[in-house]
Amino acid sequence: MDLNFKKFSLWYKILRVMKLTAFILLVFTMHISASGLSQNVTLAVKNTPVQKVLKQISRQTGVSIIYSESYFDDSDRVTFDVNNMPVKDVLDLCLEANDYSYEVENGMVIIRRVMKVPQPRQQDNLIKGKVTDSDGKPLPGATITIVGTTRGVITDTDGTYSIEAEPRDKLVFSFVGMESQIIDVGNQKTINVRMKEKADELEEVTVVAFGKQKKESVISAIQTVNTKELRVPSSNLTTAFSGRIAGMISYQTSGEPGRDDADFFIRGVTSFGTGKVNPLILIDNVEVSSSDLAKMHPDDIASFSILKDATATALYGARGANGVVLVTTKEGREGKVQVSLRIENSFSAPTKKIEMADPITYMELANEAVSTRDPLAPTPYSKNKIDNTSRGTNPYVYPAIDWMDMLIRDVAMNQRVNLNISGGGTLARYYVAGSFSQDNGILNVDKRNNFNNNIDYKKYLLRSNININLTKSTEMVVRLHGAFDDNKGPLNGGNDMYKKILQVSPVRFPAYYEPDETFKNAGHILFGGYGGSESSSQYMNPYAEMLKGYKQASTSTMMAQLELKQDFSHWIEGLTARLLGSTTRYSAFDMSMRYSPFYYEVMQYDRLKDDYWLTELNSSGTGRGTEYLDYYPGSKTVNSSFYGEASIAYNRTFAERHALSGMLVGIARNYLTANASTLSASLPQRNLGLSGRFTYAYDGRYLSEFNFGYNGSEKFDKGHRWGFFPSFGLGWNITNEDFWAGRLKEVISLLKLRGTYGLVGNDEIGNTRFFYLSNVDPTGGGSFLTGFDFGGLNLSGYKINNYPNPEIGWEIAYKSNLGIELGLFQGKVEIQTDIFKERRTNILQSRADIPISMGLWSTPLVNVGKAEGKGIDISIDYNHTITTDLWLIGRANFTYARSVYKYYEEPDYASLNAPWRSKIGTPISQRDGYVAERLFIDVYDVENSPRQDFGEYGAGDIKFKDMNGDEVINELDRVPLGHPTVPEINYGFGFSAGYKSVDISVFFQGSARSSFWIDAKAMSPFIQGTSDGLVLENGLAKFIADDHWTELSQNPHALWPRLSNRLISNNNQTSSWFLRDNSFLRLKSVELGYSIPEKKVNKIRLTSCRFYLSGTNLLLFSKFKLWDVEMGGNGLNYPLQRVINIGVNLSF
Amino acid sequence: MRLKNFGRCILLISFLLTLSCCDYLDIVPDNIATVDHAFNNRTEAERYLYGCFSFLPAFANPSSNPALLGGDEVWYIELSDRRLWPIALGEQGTNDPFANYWSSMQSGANLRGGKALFTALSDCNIFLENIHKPYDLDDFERNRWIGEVKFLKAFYHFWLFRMYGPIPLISENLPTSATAGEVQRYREPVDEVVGYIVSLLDEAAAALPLAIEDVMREMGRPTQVTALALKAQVLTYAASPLFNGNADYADYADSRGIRLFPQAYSVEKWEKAAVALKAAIDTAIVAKHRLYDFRTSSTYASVLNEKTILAMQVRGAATERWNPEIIWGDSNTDVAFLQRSCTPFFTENQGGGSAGYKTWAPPLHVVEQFYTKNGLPIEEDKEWEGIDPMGLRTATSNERWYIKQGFQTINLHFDREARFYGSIFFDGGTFYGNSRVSNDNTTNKDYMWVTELKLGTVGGMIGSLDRYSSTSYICKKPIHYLTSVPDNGSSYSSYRYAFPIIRLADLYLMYAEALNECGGETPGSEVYEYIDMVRARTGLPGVVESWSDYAIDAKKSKPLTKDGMREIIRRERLNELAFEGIRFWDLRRWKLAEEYMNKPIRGLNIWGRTAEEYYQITELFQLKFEKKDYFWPVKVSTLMNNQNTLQSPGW
Repeated sequence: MDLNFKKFSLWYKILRVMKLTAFILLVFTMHISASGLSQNVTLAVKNTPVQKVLKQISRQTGVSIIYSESYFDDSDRVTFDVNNMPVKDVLDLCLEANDYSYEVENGMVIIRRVMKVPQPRQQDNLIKGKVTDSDGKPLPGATITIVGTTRGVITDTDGTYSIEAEPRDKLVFSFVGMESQIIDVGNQKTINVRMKEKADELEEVTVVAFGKQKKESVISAIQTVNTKELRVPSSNLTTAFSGRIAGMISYQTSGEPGRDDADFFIRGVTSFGTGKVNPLILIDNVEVSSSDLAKMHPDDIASFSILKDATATALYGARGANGVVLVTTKEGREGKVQVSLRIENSFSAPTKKIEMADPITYMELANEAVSTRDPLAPTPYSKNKIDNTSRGTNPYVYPAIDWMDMLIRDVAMNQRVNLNISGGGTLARYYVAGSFSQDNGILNVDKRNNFNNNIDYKKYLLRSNININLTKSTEMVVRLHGAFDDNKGPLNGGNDMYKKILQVSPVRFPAYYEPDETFKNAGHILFGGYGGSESSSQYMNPYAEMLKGYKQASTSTMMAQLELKQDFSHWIEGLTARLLGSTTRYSAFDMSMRYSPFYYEVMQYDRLKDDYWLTELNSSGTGRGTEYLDYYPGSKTVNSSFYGEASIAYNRTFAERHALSGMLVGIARNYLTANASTLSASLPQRNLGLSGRFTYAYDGRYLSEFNFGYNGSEKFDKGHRWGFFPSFGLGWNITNEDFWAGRLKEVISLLKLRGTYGLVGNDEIGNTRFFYLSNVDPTGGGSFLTGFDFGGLNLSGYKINNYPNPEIGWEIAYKSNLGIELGLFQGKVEIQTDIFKERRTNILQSRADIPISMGLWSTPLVNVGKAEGKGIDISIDYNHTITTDLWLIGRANFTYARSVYKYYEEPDYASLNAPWRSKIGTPISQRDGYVAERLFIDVYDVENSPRQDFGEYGAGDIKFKDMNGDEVINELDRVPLGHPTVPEINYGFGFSAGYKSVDISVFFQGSARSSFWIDAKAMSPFIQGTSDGLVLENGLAKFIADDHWTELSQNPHALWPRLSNRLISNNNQTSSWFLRDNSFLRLKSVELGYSIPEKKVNKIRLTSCRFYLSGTNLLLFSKFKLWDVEMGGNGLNYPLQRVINIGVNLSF
Repeated sequence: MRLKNFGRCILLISFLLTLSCCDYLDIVPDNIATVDHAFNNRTEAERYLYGCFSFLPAFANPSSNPALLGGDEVWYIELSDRRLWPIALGEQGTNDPFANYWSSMQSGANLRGGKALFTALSDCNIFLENIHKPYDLDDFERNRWIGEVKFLKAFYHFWLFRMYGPIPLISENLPTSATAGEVQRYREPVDEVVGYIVSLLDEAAAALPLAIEDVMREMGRPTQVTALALKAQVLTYAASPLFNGNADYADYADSRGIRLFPQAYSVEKWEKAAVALKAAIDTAIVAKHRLYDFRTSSTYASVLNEKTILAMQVRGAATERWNPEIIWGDSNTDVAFLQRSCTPFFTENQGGGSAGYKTWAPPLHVVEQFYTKNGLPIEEDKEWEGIDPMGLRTATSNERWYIKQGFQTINLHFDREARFYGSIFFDGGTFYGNSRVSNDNTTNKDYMWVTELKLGTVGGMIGSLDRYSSTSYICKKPIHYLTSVPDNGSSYSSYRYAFPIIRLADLYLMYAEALNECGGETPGSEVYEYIDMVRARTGLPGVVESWSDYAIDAKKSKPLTKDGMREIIRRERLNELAFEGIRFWDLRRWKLAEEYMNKPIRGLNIWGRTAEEYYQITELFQLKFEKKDYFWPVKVSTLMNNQNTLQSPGW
């Protein structure tokens, strides 16, 4: 190469010398040949360079024509046909178009250039305008040149320019790192140009599996999400998904910082059993967990796509069956340093709190709960206590605590900061981003304690993407990413704490006592307690639970990735190759500190003096109180994964019509965990695969694609280890047809039909590690002890966890997809609609025909289950810049996905006369249960109704319908109830608009066709249970106090059945009684923004500055009012949060 | 050129394919554990053997053994963990039966106190199929182990039989690959079930040792005596009215048309039972089993008065660790909870965490059922004629060993047999034990605990809703006298004993019962001999003597008839074996549960502070027992995947 170049430059030099010599010779010759000017010329030239014409004239006439060779270049051409015309006239013809004059001296023609004086009419040709970047920010220093000339100007600091140009001129707008644009001047006087960033190929290019495809040639169902859409005031990315992505079903059930990940599924859940149903998530090609995705900062995302159909996902054969979320991170671009800083502060508060009954009602109903079931039984609260409590005698002796009010704050404040720096030259480019967020819980911090118990979730992210051009054709990308978080909070987390607040009596004891005479010098808080219980355990005091300690958890994820891209175009045009290696290390630990609280009880109360004497409840024994902190090491999780990928791709268009591409990828993946509980779980998890994509497009009109994945998984027996998953697709770009022209094309600028069909696999089909091996735990069985004094032999038997079945193999999804893409009014409106159908086979299930009498340890597994999913997803985008100052964006999407069982291993219900029990044909996440008719009216009603086989029941308890008429209510009477628990419909709509420097966006989100159950067990008031040696006692929700069956008002349709102080399992059955509709519509977010006008911003050396005020979960429309309906049955969890956020985004 | 590139592509593909064919995905090492390892050597096989044992019910645990709280013998209170008491409350059902022993490990978690007996049987079969394999197991031990596993197989079948009646017989395992039709077993007729269990026990008895040699390590494993005793018990069941010619289940037939209950009453069944019982008793005597005697077993007997000793006889027989009367005891289950549930508060400071629970409450009908001091039922004792059992009376010095001297309580508590005083706590009654074990009557006359149970007294209902006796009586028998709670109640110290599964008195009384049934209208002398041995231990006269000397005239000849004797033997069993989980099964076996268990549960008024308030009979609950309740329901979902199995009759 080096040698060649030298040779080349030598030749070049020689050529230059020769050229010079030739010129001197020519001039000399011309001078000699010149004579008179009376000659005529006959000449016909067509588009011939002037020089050449002049030579011919000279040759014909013998007149020497002298001119500087630099005057004319190859582009100066003339066309004429003259017959015997005087030389002078011919010369006029030759030079008229050009600004030259000539004179004849000594029979020689000397051509001179005319130095033109600026003329007034040329002022009319002054073109003005403004150059901005894709965000509308002015671009100073952009160059504008006229095509074919060297004339050009540079934009001012405010991005404006002015240039003289003729209507026939073409202007080239260029800027480092931006795509150049050529614009015909025409009649325009003002030309504003919005430059597009070079790397920002989103508009034209779609990210697909292992690569990118031109958007117009994509046939598979891929939803690309504008990353701005994902920017919500939350440090959890997954909370932004709901209703924003066509094809994704998403909902959130907890608002606890650090544990508020939303659930999301692509096109619903079309599998059942214990396998993986969540989508495969890839960040920069590497598989990550959903919590890794949740931690991503939206500002770091370059592209976010959802791959939905077989053609899109087949390349991920092994793991793509549930859809793929594909995220790429930003990379640096050529250009000067760009810094962007975002600071947000938000205030969050529960969207809705569950209301509890007042203490007096609580006591009265607690007594009712006991005596209504057993009139002889002792009631827990005496009249004396009730009276004194309502009089407010002494709040320590007769406590009435609103625990929620005491322990929960109204508002929490959270902060987020994100900074990214990018830039680079031709050799290397960088993108470095860091972000920090702090989320606080809504627990009240108590000053009595010396440590803060509120939830404090801090997250730190660091990302560095560096691209280096090793040679002209070789690029190396190094990506390093670290995500770290520190979570401090209550011992068992916020959800647990929140639940505990609802699991305590408001009157049994106060949160704490002011010390009496005896304990006035006690160095600890005198927590309220209650003595005497069956298993020597204390009653749970949520105040003590909150104050007694805290848990500290820390996780870190480190990812390092190296990618090499080689362009082989110099060898074979269109051939590229890529090599990628990546490793991710995850580690997490937690530890807790706590003391054992001292509990006290009032021993004696002197009403006259209003004085009480306390007694210590746990001064000795196992639950003894301590004043010092104890340390408890928690779990430590460590795992590591490696991923490698090698690909070779070929992409070329032949004869301008035949676009051909091919790609082959080999992948290998290895995952190892250090926390395996068994030997088999400790073995590495591996995947190996070869995938390919072949596309052919004819003239941009007819598109075809074939993909395959050939994957191996270690989970299966050798005979079933490898799965082959092919797919193909066809597309027709109607708008590229010749007949699609004129007015039609103006209205419908894009119409594309596409269809795909193919297979995708899933190897994560169950919890069992190796289905083809028996899994035996030699000491996991029951133990038995013998010996005279019970200290002899104590041995544990064998336990069989899995019976081998070598036939188990891949779960396979057969997916078909039909899509229409429609662009209206020159791209102002874009509509994308996909109809899909999926058949899932080989779903892992337990055999249903193995009777109990076989005595097996575990039910043998087979993969025979089948399911079918159908649905539609639609997205509509409207994008209109009405004037330069006013723009409007509208957006709506809709997803409907319904999955039903097609084959299910189940008993032969038809012969059991209970065909309604069969799951086949019913939606997958639909629950079954009993049909509740009403509450029993009285004892006679009970006696004259079929027997209900769930234990105790009587008047006021739920009466179920006897489906099979056998006079017994048992499992055979269960029927499918309500809608599925995973919503079948998710939708969202909203708009953004901007006028000058102000912008607003509003977004609604909704969900429909899903059901949930009020958790009757968790809500049942007065029920006691133990947890961690503490007695929990369910509180009384106000809605139960207000509307339940009582002996006085025997309302058979009361919301809650007859009260009880113990769990009545009859009422606790899954039944239509507690079934509720989960559909809702909510004002998900509103954002108001103000960008400081550029001129002002530029003065302080910023390129942009935007302030914004945003809010999420602002309004909720639903039939269900007791708590935030999106939480479904988890109404007692840490509530979803309404967030008001202020932020600023600066860039310079 | 192009061809060459194509070639390179092929090369690349083939390279990747080679990668796939290499052993990247073969990650499973050899030698991972399989069932085969269980039989490689003696140590592993012994572990497997203990695994087979581990499915035995926890006999002393009221969550596992339905006979403790599930009947009408002990009443409980509403606690968050109600154990198996709901069975007594009539809450048994087919959806999720309590004590679901018709189960396997595969069927999942909620056995509600039951054990996965079908898995146990399957494991036993695996053991028998493979036990020839361990290289270092000698034949003598192998034979014994085979005998033990056969015994377990028999016991598990028996336990199922007793609960469910006709059951499938798991004589050998079927392969997991067997078709649905092959694996769906039927319930087999009663006689076949009994025959199979007996044949297993015969084989087991032949292989088992007469007594455990290494008592320190192996006490609790079955012996030849155990196998023979179980066999006798099985045959007694088969001969009992529930199974022997029970017309109630005449129509209980499966889809093959086979009737599962024998319809013809057969006296031969009693004869077979009697033969087996005699064999068991004889072998037991050879193996040095004998009725327990506190006098010879306890070092404290010499410093105790006769009344305390007599009261301790039956308490000791049940609770003395591995006493010679125990033919089979539960070595695996701790008795701490059982004892705590029976322990009252003795001192003021015992209200706190670690004291007793005093929740184990015998209803009034059990209190009434114990004999008078003359060995007769109250209603048949002529000395009790005209005496109101609820009338108040003050204890004299003579009575102080059983009732606090000078204490006023009801007649019902006076002049009862020693077993009554050894079995039940009542208001003003005494207690031997809890660190007061040597009551030398010369130095410290009243060195015994007294429990007072009225509201406001130490042992009464003190406002704690989870520690009280619902009937105002508390079981005393299950407490070993060395078990103790310190005065401040800070730690409960349980003296562990092996809860009796079969003891010799049980065999004696069953033998008397069998002989009476297969004899003529007049019981033979051997009938009296065995029941009188049991009575004599607690100081009661022989049956004939008791009735002839003390019975009201109408009942004087009761022991002389077969029917009368049947009643007497049954009552004797209820008294002798009270609170040991025997009554529950006996009432069913005799088909008497419908009669006994449709009565109210009664107690005294726990809210009474004075004698007048306290000694009021309170009805706590109306028991309800239907025909279906004789047998356990099979869980509905269990029946779904085996339609050849019938639901139990009536459910």
